[in-house]
Amino acid sequence: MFGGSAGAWIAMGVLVTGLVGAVGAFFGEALGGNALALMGAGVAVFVAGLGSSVAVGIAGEKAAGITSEDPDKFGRLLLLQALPGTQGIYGFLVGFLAIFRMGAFSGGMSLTLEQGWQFFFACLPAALSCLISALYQARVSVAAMDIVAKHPEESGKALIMPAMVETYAVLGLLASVLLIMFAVRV
Amino acid sequence: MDEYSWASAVGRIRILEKRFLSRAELEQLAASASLESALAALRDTTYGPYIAKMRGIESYDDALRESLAAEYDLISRMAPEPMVIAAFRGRHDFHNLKVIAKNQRMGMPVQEEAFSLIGNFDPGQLKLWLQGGLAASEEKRPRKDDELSVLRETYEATAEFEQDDGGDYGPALVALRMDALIDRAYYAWFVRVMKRHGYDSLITYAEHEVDLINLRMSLRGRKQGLDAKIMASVFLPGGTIAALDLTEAYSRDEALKELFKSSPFESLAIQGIKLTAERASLTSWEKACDDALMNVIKRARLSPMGPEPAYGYVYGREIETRNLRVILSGKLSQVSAREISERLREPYV
Repeated sequence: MFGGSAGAWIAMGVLVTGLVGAVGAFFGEALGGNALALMGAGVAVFVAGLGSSVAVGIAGEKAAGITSEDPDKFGRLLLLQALPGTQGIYGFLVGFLAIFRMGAFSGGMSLTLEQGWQFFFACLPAALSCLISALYQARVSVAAMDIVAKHPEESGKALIMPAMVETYAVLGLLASVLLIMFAVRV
Repeated sequence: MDEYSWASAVGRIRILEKRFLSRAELEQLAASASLESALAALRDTTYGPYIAKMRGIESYDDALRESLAAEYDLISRMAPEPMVIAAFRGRHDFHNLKVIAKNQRMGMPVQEEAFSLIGNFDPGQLKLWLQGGLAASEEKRPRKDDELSVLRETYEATAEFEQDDGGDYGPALVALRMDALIDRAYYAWFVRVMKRHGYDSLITYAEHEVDLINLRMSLRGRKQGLDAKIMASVFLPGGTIAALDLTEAYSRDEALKELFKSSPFESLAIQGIKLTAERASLTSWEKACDDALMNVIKRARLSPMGPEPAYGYVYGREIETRNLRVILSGKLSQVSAREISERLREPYV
């Protein structure tokens, strides 16, 4: 189901981001600051979610393959499958925080074009770092599943390796949170 | 390359790899007191169901063949692109083509046991199909560049050997040239299939295999006193070392060693050249060649995704079947455990 390679999915995520950015650049005046800011929040949720859904799907396929031959390994494999799913949550957090800061929950959004762009770009670090790190974390998870399959007693080590990739998703999340909280003037 | 789609198959293969017999287990089998006790030990392995179905202890070959065919079927079913496995399995059909072509073009007698029954096509059906004996409705419709059409084209190309008497070297040279023509067709087709699917890593394995075949050919050719002109028609293209370079270096030791320098087969080339110069037996060297290729293909075990683990798995099963055949036939002929052990190829695990 989740065919292709990491490069292909990253290209798709970057293309979506670029297309949304291009729509903003060409039709920004007509759309207004509110729409631009919401597009940024949408990109954070969608692109990070795209990376995570593909990544969890790939890891799940491998885990299912191993489990079909050796069902006892399910518990250990589940952790490795779940790891690349965190990026999707980070993307959602950034999107939620951005919408909150825009004032959408208090019912009055009146952002200028400049503020709209600020929100858009503030959402990008999390969106792109989560997309890329999820897909590469899936690769490490899938490789770590080989350790679980062959040496189940070394499952702890297998968990640490993909967790290292998480660092860069967390850094992207932090960058976006700091930008939204302190750099965007509302 | 669509490597993600192999994730599930690779997961299953990782567990199936545990069923391979280790070197120690093979040695234990070789040390069994008799064929019966070796077969009894095999009952507890993945070969158990096939051993149980045996009609007599001497029909172990059928059991091993059935087991290998079942493994091929299993991996083909789980592979997202079964063509990758079919292309590897096709080597058995091309082997059968050699038997058929030698019979038809050179009048060599056919021995039924010379046919491999592991291929994609039944040898009897293949023979009928090659000779146009099947009704059109029974024929598999050949698609462009599919295996059947390549087999048929290659069979038609072997017609050139009908009038060839091999000159001073006789039918042995004609057979050698025919083998080379069929091998060339197989590896060219295999590479085309892998290129179509974007699996460059599998092409690398084929390239190494071609290098090794060419190295073997060059040493056998030297031993038989064949000149470079003849060898030019025997060397296979498609390896990491060009056939033209091999032809030029063929009769010069240092040039041949230089060609294999920094390849995985460098030490094999040096050792083989030395043995040929001393006119010593190449039997243990041939085994070392198989082991060297296995060491290259073993890298497939490190790939977490993609078709390499599936390719390595079926290759590993082929070698394991060959090892078991060596052990069981050795037991039947009461060969010593040490001698059997010396003949065993490097296992996949």
